[in-house]
Amino acid sequence: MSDPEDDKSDAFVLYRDRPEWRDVVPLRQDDDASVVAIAYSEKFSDVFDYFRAVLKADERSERAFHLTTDAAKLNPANYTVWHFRRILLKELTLSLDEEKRFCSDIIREEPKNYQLWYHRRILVEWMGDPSGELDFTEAVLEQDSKNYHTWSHRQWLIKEFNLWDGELVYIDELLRQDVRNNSAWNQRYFVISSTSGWTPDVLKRDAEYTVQFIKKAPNNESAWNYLSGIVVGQRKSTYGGLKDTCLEMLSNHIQSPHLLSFLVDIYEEEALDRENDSRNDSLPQALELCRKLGSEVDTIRKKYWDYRSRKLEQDYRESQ
Amino acid sequence: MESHGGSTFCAVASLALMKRLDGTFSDVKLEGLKRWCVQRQQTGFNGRPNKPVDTCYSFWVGATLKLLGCYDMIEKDFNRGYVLEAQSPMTGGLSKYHDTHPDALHSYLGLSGLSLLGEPGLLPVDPALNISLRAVQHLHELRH
Repeated sequence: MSDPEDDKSDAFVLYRDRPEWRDVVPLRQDDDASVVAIAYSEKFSDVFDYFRAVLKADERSERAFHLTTDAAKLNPANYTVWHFRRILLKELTLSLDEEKRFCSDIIREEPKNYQLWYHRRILVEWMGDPSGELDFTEAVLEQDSKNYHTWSHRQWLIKEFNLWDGELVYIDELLRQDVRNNSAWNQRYFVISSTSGWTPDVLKRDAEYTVQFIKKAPNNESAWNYLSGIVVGQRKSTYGGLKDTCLEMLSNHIQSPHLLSFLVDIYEEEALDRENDSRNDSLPQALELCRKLGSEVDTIRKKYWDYRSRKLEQDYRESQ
Repeated sequence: MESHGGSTFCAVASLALMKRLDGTFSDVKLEGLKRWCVQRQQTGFNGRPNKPVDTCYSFWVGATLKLLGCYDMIEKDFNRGYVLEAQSPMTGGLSKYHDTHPDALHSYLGLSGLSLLGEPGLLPVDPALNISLRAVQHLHELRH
């Protein structure tokens, strides 16, 4: 956005050369103490010299507002500019629809800028109207389906304005495009937790849903994490035939580290359960899987799997 | 929101600075946290499942693992190799990935991540404060 070539364009006149700004004394930035002084362009220094001046004078005018437009475009990360701009938006009762369009334009160029998303949220709060917001986040997610700012804004919109309807359908569509989209899996957890909650029926449905995706892509960490997450209140070793499902995948030579890891959790649970008659068999099963993970299937985490083995043996001894 | 290496570091480091790391999490949660962090390693580290690895997570996730007492569980050679690959041979500095523009953030965090590995020539770094131990010592001296 801060293109030094703009200095040469016919459109831009430096503020110091504008007759209508002659009454303002520009304020230089105090760079004397800078260890590494930034090489600002002439246009940048000019715009910010005048911004510092109107800020100090607290000049709440239309011309000050247009100045913040130039300043914001030069450095959209300057939160002082946005702060002052919001004061002017209120004071001069300017069009918030137009402001949202301006905000959208810069977000499209800099979608990971904190100040822009914060500004957008404030505008939507002031307007009390989320129209077009979900669509906007969708458009941004189409460019980057995992943009954290965008998901955060989308979650806020949904909670604030009760826009839960249709979200699961949207998430499902995203997962069909990319089953590895961790943000989409997270959003699913968010929606269900906040709406129906994890009732037995919902849990059953979602475990089956997740297993379908796992079977299509067995080495997908996100789906396995989701599955582990939703069965937190259950026993992995007995819930919903998951153990059988996993053993079947194992017998089909699926070498996914996440599959083996899930089975380690299952055998660990059994081994440490005093009520379980066959727990003596579960311990060696768990240890064998840890060995396989550390030496063949998930070698980068060998030391972790060695740790799990030691911990399993220790916990087993202590549970006797 | 999604679990993220950056926010995970902030949470764990904050607890460590408050001397509340012990006792805040149940054993099950603590083990889950260690596991999640260890899972971030592909070569270097990513910040979320199924995201590409990025130099800065060698610090965010590395430091978290240090604070959790299980930094030695990582594969150090791959981690070191990744960070060194992220250097910009033309201009200097480090980037988030190999062959992209370097910046101050990734340069600093890459170095910090290498320091956690015990890289010779770098000052040891405090994993919770993300400044050198020398700077920490200096801060303590200022207080007295």
